[in-house]
Amino acid sequence: MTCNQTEKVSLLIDGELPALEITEVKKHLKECSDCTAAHESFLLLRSQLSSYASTVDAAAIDAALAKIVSPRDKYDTPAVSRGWRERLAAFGFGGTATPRFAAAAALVVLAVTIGIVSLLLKRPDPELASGSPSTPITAGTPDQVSGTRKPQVQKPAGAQPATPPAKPKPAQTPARNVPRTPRRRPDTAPNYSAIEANVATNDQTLEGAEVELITARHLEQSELLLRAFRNVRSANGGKAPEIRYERQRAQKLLYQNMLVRREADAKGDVQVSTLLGSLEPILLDIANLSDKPRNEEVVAIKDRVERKSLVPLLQINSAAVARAYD
Amino acid sequence: MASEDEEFTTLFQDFYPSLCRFLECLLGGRIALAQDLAQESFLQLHRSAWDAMPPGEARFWLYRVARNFAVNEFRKGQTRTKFFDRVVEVMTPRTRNPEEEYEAKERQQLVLEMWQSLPEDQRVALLLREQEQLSYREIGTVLNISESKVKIDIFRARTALREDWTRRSRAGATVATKELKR
Repeated sequence: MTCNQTEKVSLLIDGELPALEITEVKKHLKECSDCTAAHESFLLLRSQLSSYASTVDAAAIDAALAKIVSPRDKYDTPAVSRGWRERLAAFGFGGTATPRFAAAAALVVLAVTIGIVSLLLKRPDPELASGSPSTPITAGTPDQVSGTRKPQVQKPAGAQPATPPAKPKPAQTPARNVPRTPRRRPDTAPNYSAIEANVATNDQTLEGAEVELITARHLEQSELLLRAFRNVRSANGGKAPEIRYERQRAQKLLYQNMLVRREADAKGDVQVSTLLGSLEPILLDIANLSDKPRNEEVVAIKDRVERKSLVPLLQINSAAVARAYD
Repeated sequence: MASEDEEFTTLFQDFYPSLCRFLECLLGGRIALAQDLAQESFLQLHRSAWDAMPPGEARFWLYRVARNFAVNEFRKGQTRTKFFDRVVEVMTPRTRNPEEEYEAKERQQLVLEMWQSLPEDQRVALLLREQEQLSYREIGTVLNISESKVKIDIFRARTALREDWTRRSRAGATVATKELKR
């Protein structure tokens, strides 16, 4: 059907045919109708394609050129997205903008970030320990965090404040909003700055009244959180339980819980320390829940809260601590 | 620095219009986009060590980059449908009488459908050959393919277009048949 010389016709019209074959192919064209038709078709196609003229006018050319060669617009041409090399070059790193340099810079940034994060995470432990030299604080053991330690306070009725009631010293905390009743408003933000300041300044141990107040507030906040979590609706119709608020609160209270527990340890308040140690893994688990947790995860945490009787224990202890403060 | 800018200006004025035309055909007549991509190609060239390139290499480099930009646009799927609309315009003579207009319209319709069947690499190779008059070796340089592949791609593109054209003509596209027999 198709002559096997047609490919040479294509080469002929493109000027790509070897000189020795040109005469031969031209001769073949006179004899082969198929190749003659192909030759005409190829030339027609060429004329149609090459007849198209560009629509760019001189003004558009000048404008486009100005955007490229103008120093001011050299790196600000909106039509082009700048790469990292250009960004670095804009800051004077053009000569060093090599992949090796970029990798080294990335490693340095990563190392600095890890260092800062690790410093921030480790900061409370040594500072708290050194802040109360007379009563050294035992570092938290893994089982305290993982929640395997059994709470020693099992009977709410028998729970008593382990610390002796300390009289309030208004002169020492004039600026604080000291509550007059054991039950305070839920929206009263507890002031933990005293502990944190103590940690930061490596100061002496806080006054007993301040610690009692902070502990009472923390216990109350934790109790409210656990009550709220207990009331979280279970998954219904494929919709995940809404625990965003509880999770955020748990994340806040977790850090505070560590601080207060260590203060209680330092004071030898075994009961409060044990209670907070029992609370910590619960807070940790709530804080680590996903945005859309499975129903089983929420129910499991609720069961643990109930099994450990954490809500009544927190209520009793916060009330007792507050009474002691009063 | 001034002489570099002058050289670049010359290069730009020589090749920007043809690069725009090349991109317009590839992108199916999206003139604004073609000009943007041509401008981007030149900007990339300006940022690179273009003055250290061997003579003539800048032109190939430009077509290579422009073609890659166009391929990216194809992959985005934004220009695929418009490509063949512009082919119609490419094939359109500037002035005709009504009869010629009608014939041209039918021929354009044929060309439109024929180009749809061409693979992208064959289409680019043929365009570079017919519009830019690049040699096979130069096309191979632009597309980073061997000269043999360029030869095969161009021949296959032409053959496919011709066969399709003939088949359609026999099926009743009398206007196109007249063009072929003329």
